[in-house]
Amino acid sequence: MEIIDVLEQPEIAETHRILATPTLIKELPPPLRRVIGDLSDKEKVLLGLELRKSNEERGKPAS
Amino acid sequence: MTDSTEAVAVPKLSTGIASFDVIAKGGLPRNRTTLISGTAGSGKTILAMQFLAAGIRESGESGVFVTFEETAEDIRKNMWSFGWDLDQWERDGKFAFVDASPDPSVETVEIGPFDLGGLLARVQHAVKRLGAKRVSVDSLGAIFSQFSDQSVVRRELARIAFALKSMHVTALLTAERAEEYGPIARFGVEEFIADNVMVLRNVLDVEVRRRTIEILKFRGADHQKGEFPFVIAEGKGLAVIPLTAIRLRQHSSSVRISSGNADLDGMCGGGFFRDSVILISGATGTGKTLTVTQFMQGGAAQGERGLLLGFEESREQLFRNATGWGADFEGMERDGHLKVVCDYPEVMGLEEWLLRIQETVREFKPKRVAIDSLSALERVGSIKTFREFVIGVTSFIKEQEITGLFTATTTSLMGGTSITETHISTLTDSIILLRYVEMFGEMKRGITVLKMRGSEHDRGIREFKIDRDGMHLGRRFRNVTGVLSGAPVHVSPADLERAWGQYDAELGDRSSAAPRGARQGERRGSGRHG
Repeated sequence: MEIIDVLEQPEIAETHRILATPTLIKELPPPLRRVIGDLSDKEKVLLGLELRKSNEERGKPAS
Repeated sequence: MTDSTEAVAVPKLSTGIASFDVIAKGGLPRNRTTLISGTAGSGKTILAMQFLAAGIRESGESGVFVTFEETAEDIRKNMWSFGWDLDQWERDGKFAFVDASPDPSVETVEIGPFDLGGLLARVQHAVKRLGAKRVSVDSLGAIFSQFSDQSVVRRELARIAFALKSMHVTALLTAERAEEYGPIARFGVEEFIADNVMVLRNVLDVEVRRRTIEILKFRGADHQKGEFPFVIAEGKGLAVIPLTAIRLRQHSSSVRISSGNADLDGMCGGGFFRDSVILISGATGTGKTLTVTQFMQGGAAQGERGLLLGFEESREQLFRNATGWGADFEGMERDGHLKVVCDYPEVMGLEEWLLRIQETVREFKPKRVAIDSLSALERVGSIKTFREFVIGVTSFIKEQEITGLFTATTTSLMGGTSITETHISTLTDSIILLRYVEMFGEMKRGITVLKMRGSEHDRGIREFKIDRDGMHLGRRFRNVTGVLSGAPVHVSPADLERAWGQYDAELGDRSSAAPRGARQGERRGSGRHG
């Protein structure tokens, strides 16, 4: 996990073609995923990065 | 020109696009943001890039291009045809892309509040790195489609526009619109984040695309009003044709030049004026091309250069004609006294033709220019475009202080006016009519000078013959009337005498009013016969 301040290192923002702040990029494990927006809701972040399935999806096969 | 001379007004930045600076009265307001709105294919991206290219080339000012729509790679390729070597400029540290185009390979999810701080930081970084003075952003609408929260995009665009001002750059922002005459831009906010607004249009006008540029507002700065036609030329980019900006600052020279035919010079009161435009109107075969040929020959005889633009006949045909009339076009070209350019009028639009003609005149520097015929060019566009073209050519010719001779073809063989004539007769200084006259089972040719601005001229209708040496003017048509209307009526000598006699009695002095008397007599004679 690497944290970059776009104001201090704009060239890295350029390389990764960042538009929005904050942006969270998950490179590994694939697939490459980007999440933008406030990261305080852990559940939303994990869903966005596809690191966790939603409650509904988890619930579906069971029902 | 860099800054405007008025201290009160907002200073202008000369864009380096000369024709644009004319309508913008010096250039774009400096350190401000200007929106260019236009439909798809109206030339926004080209103008946005040309703004940077002209800065690099003309004033050594670096530029940053922010793209929200096409990828940097695509733009690089597309701009190659204009001769803008973005790669080289990038290596020289004169140019940089900020590629903010959507990347289809990356899936992005919005999970909460965000801003476009990343983009702003990249733009600021690029501007700082190059010491850029110009920034182009293409296009605002495309950034909206990249994010679902439109209100954030609106707020952030306003913030970026504000930040651009504090960076002391002059910026062009492009935006799409759905209709040529409707809301300024698609999202309804674009015009509010910029200080100035311009519109590019691409209207279908009688099956021909007509491009125009209009400056809607320059906050605190002056500009030309209304739509100006422009063309997008390969190797150059956008070129505005500032028609109404052309000032009537003609010197109205009193210097006379020869038409190439001594008789015709006599009819015109001593030749054509140096900076005038003459229209020759006549049916096919009446001698228009011959008049043009003599005009060129007359110039060459004085050691002057002549430019002949042929739109009806091929080069070979024109040269063959000339030889038939005793003019050696080949020799004249060899001596550098003549340049003949022949092409189909349809190969490009009238705006492009105007630019081409101006370029050729600037390069070859002729003293005489002939267009044979204007009627052929009329087919290419609408009446409005054609009129603008003629205004453009005539004012350009006068500005160069050279002489222009245009031909117009009448549709009917006998008499009548050409369509060309009715549209442009007020724009030319002189009009010469060539007409067929049917007399006793024979076709004769007649010539008359209808109008000669600023000079006396022969008001008679003279017969003329064409032989191996060219045109030879004969006597007046004295016993015939209605030549110009195409329905000549013969007047018997007895009637003519009586008419003249009556006229003389009224006037009491026959000799001083002879030319008018003749005309008057003819008119009366026709009344009797009709």
